[in-house]
Amino acid sequence: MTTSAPLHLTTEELDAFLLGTPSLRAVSHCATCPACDRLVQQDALVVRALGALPSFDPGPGFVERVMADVHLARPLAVPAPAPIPARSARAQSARRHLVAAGVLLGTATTAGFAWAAANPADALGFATPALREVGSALWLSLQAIAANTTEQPWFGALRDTLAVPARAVPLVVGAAALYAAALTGFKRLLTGPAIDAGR
Amino acid sequence: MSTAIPTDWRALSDQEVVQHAVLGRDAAYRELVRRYQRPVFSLIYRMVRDRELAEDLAQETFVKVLNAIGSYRPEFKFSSWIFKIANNAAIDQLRRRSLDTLSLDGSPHAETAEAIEATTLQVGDGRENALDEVANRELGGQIEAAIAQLRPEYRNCILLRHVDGRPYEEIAEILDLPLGTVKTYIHRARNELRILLADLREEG
Repeated sequence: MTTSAPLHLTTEELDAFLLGTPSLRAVSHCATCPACDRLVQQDALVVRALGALPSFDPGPGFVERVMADVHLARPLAVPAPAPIPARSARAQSARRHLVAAGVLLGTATTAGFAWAAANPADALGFATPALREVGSALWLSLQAIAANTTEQPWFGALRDTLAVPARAVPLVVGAAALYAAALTGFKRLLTGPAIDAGR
Repeated sequence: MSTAIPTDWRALSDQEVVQHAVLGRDAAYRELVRRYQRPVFSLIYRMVRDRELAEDLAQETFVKVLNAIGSYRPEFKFSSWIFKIANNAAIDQLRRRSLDTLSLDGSPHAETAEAIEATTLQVGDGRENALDEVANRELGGQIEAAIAQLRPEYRNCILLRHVDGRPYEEIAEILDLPLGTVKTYIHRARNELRILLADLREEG
């Protein structure tokens, strides 16, 4: 048969004694352990003696000496709105010119639409040949690009590759990924450096 | 909080008095000094053991706290804040002057008999009858002597806990120490005081 050594009071149990709330185990242990019982009595004596120590007052005039060095807080006021900074004469002049140009352009555009609405036949007479010329030029350009592309040496190989879906799909996906990567890289190039970069 | 000026400052909580102080009311500042001058001065005096120095440090503590009253955060106890600043002032002073173990017999910087008398820690508050006063002065003197021999970190812990009656959690907040460390320091301080007081009784 083994017998365990008696467990003496822990710090918490000693504290509980001082607070007047000892556990049952602590009380029954103290009843059989003179060392712990003496410890509890001595601790209580020390704590009582500490609690009975007097307080001290600073010398007369202490409050006045403190107040002489204290700056009373100012009551918090609602902050006034920040004044709008005055524009420089140069900035004001530039702004006036910009407004005048805008008004002029708006007036001219409105007048043009008003004239076209009032004289639709004349307006179409001016516009139709011009639009025809523009359309013709765009169509010719498209034809030239197509002819030029089909005459390239790699065009035949590309057309054969794209004709087979099993090869076309990975190629298109790869091209899309490459495009996305290029866009991301380009965006990063255009982004300004962080403020703390390099620190 | 009402912004009307209170007639009875003593009825207000610390937080309420601080709110009046933030509004710039002189009486609120004075009330805070009135409430805390005794415990703050006592703590510092027992730490540095020099009355004049303790007055200077207590004054410095109050001036620092009251001039920063606008930055006080009401979620913390005002007492924790002021004791933290008082303790820091005392510890800084002890570090500067290496007064870790101090004499009960007045300031180590006092050079004349009058200066020694003026700076000696006065034990007993003068309310007892003559015999009690003698006994209490003797016991009080022994305890003060024992406290003076503790390490500063044990000394401030034991003073805050058993002289001022602050809870462990508040002491941890004041001293910026983990709760477990505070408990350990207080336990060790009590052990040392027990031994020191036994030695002093035997010597007596």
